[in-house]
Amino acid sequence: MSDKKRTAAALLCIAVITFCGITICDHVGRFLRVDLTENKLYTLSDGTRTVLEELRRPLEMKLYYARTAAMKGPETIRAYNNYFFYIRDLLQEYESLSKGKLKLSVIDPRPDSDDELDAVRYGLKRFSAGDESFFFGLAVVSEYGRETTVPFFAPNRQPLVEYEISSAIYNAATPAKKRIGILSSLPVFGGGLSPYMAEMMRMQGRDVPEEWNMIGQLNRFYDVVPVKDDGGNVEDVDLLMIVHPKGLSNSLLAAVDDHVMKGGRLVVFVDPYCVVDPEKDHAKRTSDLNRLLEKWGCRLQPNAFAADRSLGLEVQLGPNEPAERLATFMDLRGESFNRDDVVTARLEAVRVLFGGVLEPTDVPGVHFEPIIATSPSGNVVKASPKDVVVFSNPDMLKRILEDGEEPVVLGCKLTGKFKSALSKAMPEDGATESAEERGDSNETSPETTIVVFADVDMLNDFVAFQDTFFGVAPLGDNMNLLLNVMENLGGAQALSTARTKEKFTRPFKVFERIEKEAEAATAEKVAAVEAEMAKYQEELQSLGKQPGGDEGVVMQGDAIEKRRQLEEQLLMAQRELRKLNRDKRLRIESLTSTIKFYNTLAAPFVILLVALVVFFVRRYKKNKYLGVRHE
Amino acid sequence: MRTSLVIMKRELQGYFSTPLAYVFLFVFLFFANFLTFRSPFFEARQADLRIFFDVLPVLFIFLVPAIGMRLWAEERKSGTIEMLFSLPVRVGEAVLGKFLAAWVFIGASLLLTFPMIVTVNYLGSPDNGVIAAGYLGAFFLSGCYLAVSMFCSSISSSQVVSFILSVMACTVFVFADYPSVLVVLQKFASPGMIEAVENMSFVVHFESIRRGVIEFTDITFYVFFIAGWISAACVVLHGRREA
Repeated sequence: MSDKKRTAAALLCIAVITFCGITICDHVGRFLRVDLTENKLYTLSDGTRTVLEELRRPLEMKLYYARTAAMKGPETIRAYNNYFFYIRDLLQEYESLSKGKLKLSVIDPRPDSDDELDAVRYGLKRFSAGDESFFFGLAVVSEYGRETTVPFFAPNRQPLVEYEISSAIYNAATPAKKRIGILSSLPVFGGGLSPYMAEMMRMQGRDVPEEWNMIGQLNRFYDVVPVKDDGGNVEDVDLLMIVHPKGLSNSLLAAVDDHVMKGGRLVVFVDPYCVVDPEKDHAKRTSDLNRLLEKWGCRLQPNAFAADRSLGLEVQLGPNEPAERLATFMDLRGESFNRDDVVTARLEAVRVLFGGVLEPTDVPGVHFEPIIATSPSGNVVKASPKDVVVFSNPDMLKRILEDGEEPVVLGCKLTGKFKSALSKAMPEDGATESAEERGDSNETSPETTIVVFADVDMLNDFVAFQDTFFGVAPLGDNMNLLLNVMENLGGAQALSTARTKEKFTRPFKVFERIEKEAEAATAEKVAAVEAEMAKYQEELQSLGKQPGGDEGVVMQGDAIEKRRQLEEQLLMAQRELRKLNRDKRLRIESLTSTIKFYNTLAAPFVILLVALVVFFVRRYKKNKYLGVRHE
Repeated sequence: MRTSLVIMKRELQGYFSTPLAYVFLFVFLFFANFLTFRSPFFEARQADLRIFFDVLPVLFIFLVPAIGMRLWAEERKSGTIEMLFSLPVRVGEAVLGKFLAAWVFIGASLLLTFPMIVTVNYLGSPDNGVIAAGYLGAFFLSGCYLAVSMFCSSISSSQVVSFILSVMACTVFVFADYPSVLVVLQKFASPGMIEAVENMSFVVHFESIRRGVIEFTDITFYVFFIAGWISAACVVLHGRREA
């Protein structure tokens, strides 16, 4: 073999070895990584990792970002570029952790293209940006055609983005509707009559119990079934919801306990006084599940109502009476919601009527997390359910309610491994059982979640819905709260622990400080100029309204002159305002110029200087050496 | 290895005995900063070096071959290669020594861009972990360009030819993952082949590191890639020595 052929063969061998080495390492070590980011931005939570590990079928993630539109569009849209990079990198992290189950494609949907049509079909939000459409959302598509989306990635919702993406992936990979079992002492499913029978009864003037609207809302996303009286079908449900539990039989309690012990998720709505309870005796309108819940980490305080003057809604007790704030009928807002929890992070307003008070019972291994509460000035009103006048009368509440110092918990999330709340040898139904007789079982559930709310009325139509011109519509976020809970608990248990992400943005604080200082320095002047402009504009408008007539001709001449003067003054004021704004910008521009200068020119010129010094030193040494030689 | 280090030291001294090193540093620092500020660095208002690291792959296409072109072409043209190989030095040691010298020099050039780090730390609170990862990625990236350039230098005695070949080869590896390239490939290559081509792009692995996540696969890509091209240069030079 000639030398050339030998060299060529060796080069070929090297190419093959290199290529194979890269490919093998790519497959073997793709899960070995170190996240050097300060807030571990690309380290996905254990919950997300579990969701990805459980993927059995391939899914395609289509990230739609109208990059061309963003570049051509106004500054506000261009600002999405930074967030796009973050989302793209995060999705790449999903892709690399999915062991090949997720495939990411980044799509720039141009106008009139198939990509644009697909984006619209997936239901991604579209914004107009000149002659282009702006999209920034995600579609997750399974091989069976099941599609889930994140319609729009808004930077202000970044803390929730991991949950949103993980949830979309989980839902796309889980084709069947989740089944929710509802156990309630109230007729939440209506009377169970056919529409024909219900209509007949109405025609006869009889009361027909109607299905609560919340059931319809849940039915849109889930398979909702009532739990049988003996709890026989609890095993078949993915998620159990208990509404206003009263006098539950031991077999039902055992079924609920079993459900939790098997890792099933549970949502409980209890109430110290349920307004929609048809029970005539007010004292019996109360419900609790303390027998189980106390062992699982929380309890409903007996004879206690949450109240908050700052959140109370105005109610009119009689036809001719003035509306007054009722501190026990609250419209929870702002700081009432736990912003770190995906269930409540986005809620704005939730109505609660005569809600109770939840308190932790400090069970080891169980984490008690309040998710809705009053404001810190909320307090507890001690009253028995039969003393309706105490907690439902604004005047009475004004007299007895004092501002508290910490929020009163109205809803909480319990997470952990729960111990069975019932002894194994349960007495037969009907036999009374004392607390002493109940022994703790050592049975422990897998990691699961229980959500408890201290109000039932918040689910009912008259609190959570309103009649509108277009029909019945949800009022406030009560239904969103319920749906969020169901989505959170109905998904993988892992999803409920998908953590919130830290902020990725790192703005130029110096610029912000300069802008604030400049704004503060010119605020008075700007306000004065703006006031002057407003005055001129007002005068101009009033001139336009002056009546005509004979006198009006003379007046019109004056008016025209005055109008001209006013317009001139307005122009001058506008110029001055522009100058003030320009002065604000000038400081930043001067700083950017300095930075550009030092970075672009200073460092290279230092190198040039060093080169010259070295050159002259060498020449000097050379001359000196030659001089010595010459001598 | 010791011999390689001696050669590396001699080479590094050689850089600074001619204007080459100073010219390279001047041009590199000027254009790296100029192109960064020409992009919307201030408009983005983000205290990070994303834009700076965006500029590097393109800048390296022209600047790293300028360093790599002379590594062997100059020795061959001036005839000093025969003298080098007449010494008790193995080809591999000489190649490694020269490569390390050039790589260290480029690494030093990268470090001299530290005013950019000072700038973003002054303007805001950057994630310095991400910046450190970016510099590490840039160092490995430059190693890839250099290894390719050194191979091109070993096959030609003309520095100009070596430079042009290097620029062309580096361009191919930089743009291997571009959508327009992949669309063309889709017409005749299988999906696995396309993925392999995409995976050979310098930029794909650089992107991955510079966001702040050091992945085993990215590091092994760079190590295998650099080792492969250095070995290829060794084979070519070895053949020449034998001849």
